[in-house]
Formats: sequence, C-alpha cells, structure tokens
Amino acid sequence: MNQSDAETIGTALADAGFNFAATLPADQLHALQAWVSKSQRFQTVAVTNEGEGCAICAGAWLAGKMPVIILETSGILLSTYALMRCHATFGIPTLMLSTYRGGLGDQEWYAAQTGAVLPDLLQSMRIPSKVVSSADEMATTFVDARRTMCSSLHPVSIVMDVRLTTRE
Amino acid sequence: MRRSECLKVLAPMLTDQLVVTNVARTGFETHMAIPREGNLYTMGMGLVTPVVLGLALSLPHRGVIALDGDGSILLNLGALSTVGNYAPQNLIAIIFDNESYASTGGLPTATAGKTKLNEMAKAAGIANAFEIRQIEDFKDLATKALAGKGPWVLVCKVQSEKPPVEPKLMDGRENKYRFVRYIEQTEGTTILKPSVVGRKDS
Repeated sequence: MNQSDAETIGTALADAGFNFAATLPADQLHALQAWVSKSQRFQTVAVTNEGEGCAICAGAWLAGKMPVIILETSGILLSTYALMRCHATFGIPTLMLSTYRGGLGDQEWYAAQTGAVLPDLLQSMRIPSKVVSSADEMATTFVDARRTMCSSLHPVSIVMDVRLTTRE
Repeated sequence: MRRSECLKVLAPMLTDQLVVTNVARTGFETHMAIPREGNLYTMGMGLVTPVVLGLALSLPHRGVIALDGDGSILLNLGALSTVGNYAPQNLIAIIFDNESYASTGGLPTATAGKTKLNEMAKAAGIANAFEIRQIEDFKDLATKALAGKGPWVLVCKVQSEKPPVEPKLMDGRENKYRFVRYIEQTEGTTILKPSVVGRKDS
C-alpha cells in the first residue's frame, strides 16, 4: 500500500469513529499500520497474534472504544477461535480490516489457498464482509461498517483487494 | 490452597473493579463468592487476560482483574508479552494454577512439569509476578496489588478439584449486557447504540 492511500484510509477510519487499533505487521499493510500507530486519533496495540488482538479489541469495545484490528488474510484464520468464542458468543463487535492475500491477482503461491477459502470462512462465521478496491471507497464503507457493528453486535470484515494493497 | 478460599479473601476487597473470569468452575465459583454486575464470566480459554488488557488500556483510571487459569494462559502466552510491554498499571491477572485441566478430566498442564508461569511473566516484562502457595500470602499480595501500581501477575497454586457449584442462571449475552450497562452507569458513558428507525449516525 502506498503512503497516500494509507493516509486516506487511516483518516477515513478515524473519521468514522474508530479509535482503538490492534496491529500485527503485514508487508502489504505496513504504510497503513505505521500511519495508524503514529496517529493521535488511535490508541494502538501491537499484538503477538491476531487472536490475541481480537480479544484485546473485544475488551476495548466493552470499555466503550470502537475497535479495529488491521491484519493480514492469514490472521483471520488465526482469529477464528477468538471471533467465535468471544465476539460471537457474547455479542461483541470488532472491525477486521484485512488484506486479500490469495485474491484475484496475487502472485504468491503460498497465499492462494488462504485467499480461496476467505469468503466461505467469513460467511461461515456469519461475518458481513465487503471487498474494497479503492481508497476513495473507504470513508462510506467504514461508516457502514460501524453502523452494522452497532446494530448487530457482531464482527464486520472489510477486505482490501490486491490492487489496492499493492499499488505503488 | 483452594481457589474458593482465594475468592472469599478477594470478595471484600473489591469495589468498582471490572473482573473477567475463565471458563468452568472459576466462573461458577466467582459467581458464588463475589456476585456483582462488574463481572464477566466464562470468557474462552486463552482470551481472559487479553480481554482484560483491552479493558485496562481503554479505562486506565479503573482497576481490572483477570481471574485466569494455567491451561488458559498457556494457550495464549503472547498475552503476557503484550501486558509486559504496555504495562497497564491498573491490570491484575490472578492465575489459578491447579497444574491440570481439572474441568475436563484432570490431565496435567505444563505447569505440572517444569513450566513456572510467574517466571514466564517476569521474563515477559512484568516485574510484579509472584507464585503464591499460602492463603495469607495471597491476602497480602492481593491487598498490595489492589492498592499499588501494576501490572501484577499472581500465580496462585491451588488444589485440582471439582467442587459442587451452583448453576449460574445467566448466559453470556445477558452477562455481557449487564456488564456493559454497569460500565455505562459507572463511567457515565453510552456504549450500546442499537439501531433506531430514522437515525443516521455520521
């Protein structure tokens, strides 16, 4: 992701009311994660795995924050236990803002299977999801995500496609 | 030392702290010994201390307590590193270490072998990490933890047992709503914002 898109997306995220972010480094998200970590508009926590990050976000939401975890596609696989046993069981929302490794156009062989199962994985967890390909779509998408989080009390997923996360 | 003894000692010390408990008997025994609106019971294994960390970082002026277990924290040891690095002064993790998966048959955990959770917590950067074997020591350290700056990790070596417990007539969702309403009331804030016909948030 380039710096301009990172700033656009980070600003839109904050403007939509998100103010607590858990992050674990991912190469296509570095610029966004760095921007969010430096921003005064977010309380940021660097975590050791995405399941832990989702659980920390759950605690933040219980305390009144509007949380987002910024994670790689494989991190969603790691998060499934926390998302089901904590968020879905108790009814706790968190936004998952992720890459789409293995999505259309990804050239890495090791990501292919993860990307192939991602839509079914999210659907099986009853997590509403939208794939976004332009930073300009983010402002309205984040607002919609927050509305759905508040009404459903369930996690919501926004997946940034390969074109967006690899744009120079 | 028994977990129920620790909970009885802890009960009169609590004021407005937020408490999140582990699964199974830790949740049931807490509900019996310290029934209060500021408790969230039966969080999944491996998730107790991370959820409490999220609470602690978001409400830094308020005490938060994890009533965790050895099997649970072993499932997510990275959480100790995150607690150590962010070092919230308001966080207390009480880990009831019975060296076994007591609720599911009693097979040993790693702490029945060579693993020492208090030393792992110290190595993760949590200076106030102690192993406790006597109830008097628990009372002393719990008192200090509630009054002093954390984070604290109190590893309580307790018996592996399955004492009879009363049913907790409340599921996780009702518990969550009551827990959040308690936070809303005591913090003077609004957390639950259900959809309302005609309302369009920005």
